Amino acid sequence: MIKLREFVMRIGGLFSKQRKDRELDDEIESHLQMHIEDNLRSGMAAEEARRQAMIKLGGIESTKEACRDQRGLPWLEMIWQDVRYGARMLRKNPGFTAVSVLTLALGVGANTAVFQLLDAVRMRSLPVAKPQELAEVRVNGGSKGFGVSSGPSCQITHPLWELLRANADPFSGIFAWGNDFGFVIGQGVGRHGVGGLWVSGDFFTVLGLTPTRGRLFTANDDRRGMGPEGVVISHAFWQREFGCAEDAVGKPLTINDKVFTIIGVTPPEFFGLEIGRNFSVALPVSARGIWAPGVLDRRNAWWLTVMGRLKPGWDVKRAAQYFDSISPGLFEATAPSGYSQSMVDTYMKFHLTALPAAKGVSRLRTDYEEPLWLLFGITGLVLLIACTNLANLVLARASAREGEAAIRLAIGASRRRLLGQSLCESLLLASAGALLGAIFAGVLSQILIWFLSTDGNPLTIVIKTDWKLFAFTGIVAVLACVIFGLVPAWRGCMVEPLAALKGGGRGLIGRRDGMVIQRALVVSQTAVSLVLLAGALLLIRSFWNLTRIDPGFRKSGLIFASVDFSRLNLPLDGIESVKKEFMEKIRSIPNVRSVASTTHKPLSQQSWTMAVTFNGEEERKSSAKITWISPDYFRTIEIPIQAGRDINETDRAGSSKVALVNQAFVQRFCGSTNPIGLRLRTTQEPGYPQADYEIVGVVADTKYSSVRQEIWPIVYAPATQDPNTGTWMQLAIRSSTDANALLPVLQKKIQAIDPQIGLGLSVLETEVRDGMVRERLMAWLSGFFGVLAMLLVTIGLYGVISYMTVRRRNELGIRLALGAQRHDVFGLVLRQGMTLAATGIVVGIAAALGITRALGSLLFLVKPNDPLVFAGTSLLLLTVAFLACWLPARRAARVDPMIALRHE
Amino acid sequence: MVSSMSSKADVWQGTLALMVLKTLERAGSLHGYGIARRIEETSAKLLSVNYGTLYPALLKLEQEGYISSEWGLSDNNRKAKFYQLTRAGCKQIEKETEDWEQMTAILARFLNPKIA
Repeated sequence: MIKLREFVMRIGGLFSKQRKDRELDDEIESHLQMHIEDNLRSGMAAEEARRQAMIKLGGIESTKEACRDQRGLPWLEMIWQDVRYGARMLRKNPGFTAVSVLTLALGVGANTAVFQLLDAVRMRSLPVAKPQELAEVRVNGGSKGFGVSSGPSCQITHPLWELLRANADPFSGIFAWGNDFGFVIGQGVGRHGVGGLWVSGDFFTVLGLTPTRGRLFTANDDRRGMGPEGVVISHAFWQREFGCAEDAVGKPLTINDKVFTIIGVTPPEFFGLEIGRNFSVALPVSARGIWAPGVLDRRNAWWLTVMGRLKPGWDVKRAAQYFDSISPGLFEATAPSGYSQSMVDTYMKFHLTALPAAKGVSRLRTDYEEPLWLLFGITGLVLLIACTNLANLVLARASAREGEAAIRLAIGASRRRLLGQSLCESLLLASAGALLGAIFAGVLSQILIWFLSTDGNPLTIVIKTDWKLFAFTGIVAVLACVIFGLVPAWRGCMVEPLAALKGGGRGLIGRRDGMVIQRALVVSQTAVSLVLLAGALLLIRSFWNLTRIDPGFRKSGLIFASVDFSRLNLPLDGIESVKKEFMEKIRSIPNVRSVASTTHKPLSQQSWTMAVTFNGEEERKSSAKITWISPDYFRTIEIPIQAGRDINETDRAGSSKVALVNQAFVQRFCGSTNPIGLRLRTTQEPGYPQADYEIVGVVADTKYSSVRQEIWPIVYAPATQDPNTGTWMQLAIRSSTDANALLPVLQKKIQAIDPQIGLGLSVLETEVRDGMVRERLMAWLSGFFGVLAMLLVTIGLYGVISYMTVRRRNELGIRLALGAQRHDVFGLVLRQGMTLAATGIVVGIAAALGITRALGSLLFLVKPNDPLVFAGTSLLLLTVAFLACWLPARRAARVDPMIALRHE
Repeated sequence: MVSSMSSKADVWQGTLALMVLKTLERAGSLHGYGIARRIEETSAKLLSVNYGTLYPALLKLEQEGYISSEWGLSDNNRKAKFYQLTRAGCKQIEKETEDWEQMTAILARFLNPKIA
């Protein structure tokens, strides 16, 4: 207690120092006076009285010093003094300070931003109760293209879910959910699409969520055959659409033309279970039957994700064994009909497994985890360069201040004090850099998210600034501080005062020992930046390759329209003529060159595979992609027909079945035989009975679902012969002007035809570009950081060479005085710099050859050791190094020998 | 505190504090010079004190709350800072006196085993 009191008083003593100093002066003065008076009284002479009093008191100044030390906290004051001194030094060198703080801030900021994103995508647990108890049940290895899948995270069909629900021994609670982005809210003009969730009745209960308002679903809300009843809305939706109104619960909400009643609002932090995709409304799984009768019984539609909360005593591994063991029964009971026997056999061999699900599912994670780690590595290297750069700058300054350090040592400063002061200066730089870096990080991560978001795929990631992040930034800053502060500080305080004072920078040849560290730093910097630049160039080249791929048809000016007639309530038998009429109307719109229908939008990740047996031979069964098209399709998307004929109006539902195939198909199945006239047979699938098609034409190869993939064998058959047509169709529209300009025109014209027609328009080129967002991100960012690294190295090299030149001024002056030519001196300095750069480049190439191999899976059509890239990088760095050395070399050559020699 | 036998500064630091407290207990309110003189007199001039060392000790005692200070006038009308004991100071004297007595008793047994 007493100690604490003393400490508090001492802290108080740090303030109002002047007043206390004055009081102490007064007190000691009065002490002296009293003593002198006493002495006088005892008969001393005035002079002697004063002398004796002074002697008795001891040193006045040391007394005052002892009091001052007792009054405040000397160490704290010392630090404060160091901080002020450091700040003053930094203020006096604005250039140095700005470069240091900015490079550090960029390094720290970039690291933090990438870390934030990694954290959001990779590390954070779901905002639910005890997320670590959650496990997901899915088919081991996926459904392998069997049936229809709604997405990579949709692994379970509804009939399977119903069986799982009844056989969930490892779980204390089990639930199913699925994403749906086809929800349309409201009526008339205000209609708009939102993201939604299908959730089983126990979803919210098992996750342990409590409603913000109203109530959430219970098992009772999720019943087969239910009508439009309650809907749960997200907190964000409640805020957006209802302004957090208390009376929102109980209000009606129209979803896809059915009226539901809002029963509750989810808690604000709950965004759903897929990171990067938020939901607005949640409906019971069974409610899907309202719009799609029979969907709940479809045994080949994978649209649900099933998760459960593990019972105490169960872990994921044991749960996986359990689900694996019950798999045969489950798959036998749900075997879909309408497939060939071999397909059914494949299905029955599926096995379930369980996986940890604490972090939810994420398309982002699978797509971006590797690139993000890579980016993290890149930013780490940038930070490393920034740190070595600072070490170099500080080192140069410390050497320049050797004289000052020596004087301070000579007049009695302790080495510890000097070391502390240097460290203090570095810490100031580090904290300023880290602080600015934290601000940069906020901006940078927003830019990253903006980069990753596309029109078709808006991303909603909550970037949280949490303790983990602060710890991270802190560690980075402190590490940086230690790395670039300790070396020069140590060197600075190891100075021999006498030697340094004698030398005083006047030595004929700059002391070599200091330069060894600096040279090593420059070499390693150059090496690291070569690695970064080489990696960046590889990624940029890969992206360039990707954008230059010819898909086999003309992308630009192509618009795809997804058209839905279902709300017109037309009789199904008349739908074909309606579609035809509709296409005619589109064709008459100005700037529309041609229109055709197709079931497949190329390069958009969609796929429709059918098993085909060829020419009646059962054993040569294989699979091909199948696309149902209208006449004019090839003319519209501009695929040349290489042999035979196009589909035309004579190919009707009733006429003999025909098809066109692509070159890849011919090469794969026909060999040297003329494919025209051959027959291919499709295997039976639900809704698609076995059928024979006569090949009537061959078209050129095109990329199918992505530009990255190989060419697939494709079969094109007339849309009129598609056994399953409905109220939906997709049009390919060739614009004769800019597709983006035509888009709003189309929108308006189609609305004018009938506002009830559902419409989704997209420009193919934009979509394809958006599909390369990962490659673009990597190319841009690695390029940015590569250039940054190069700039840092330039600064570093320039700094070191200039500094060396300054130290060698006398020597250069003597050389010039003794008759050396100016270009000799120029060459001398230049050579010195270029040797360092070249060494760095050689080391860098060796390192890069090993490191770029890690890029392998991210590179497209370029090898990780591409010689062109490596040559280019080396050349670029050499050029930059030359420029960095040129200025100091020229300055050295212009040294006036007289001035240099006179200079002390 | 400098003295003829100040090899153990710590001990002296502690004893000086007790001496100051004890002096103040007897004198009531006193200024720094007065305290120094009294200590010298009490010790029968066996202690040779540098008066300057007294002031940090006074400051520490004040920070610990054992004494308080205020400005006042000395006997010959000189402005001086007067110190007096606080309640905590009184208790501290009791405690330290006990400690010292115990300490000296123990030491006495070593120095003169016959008493034991």
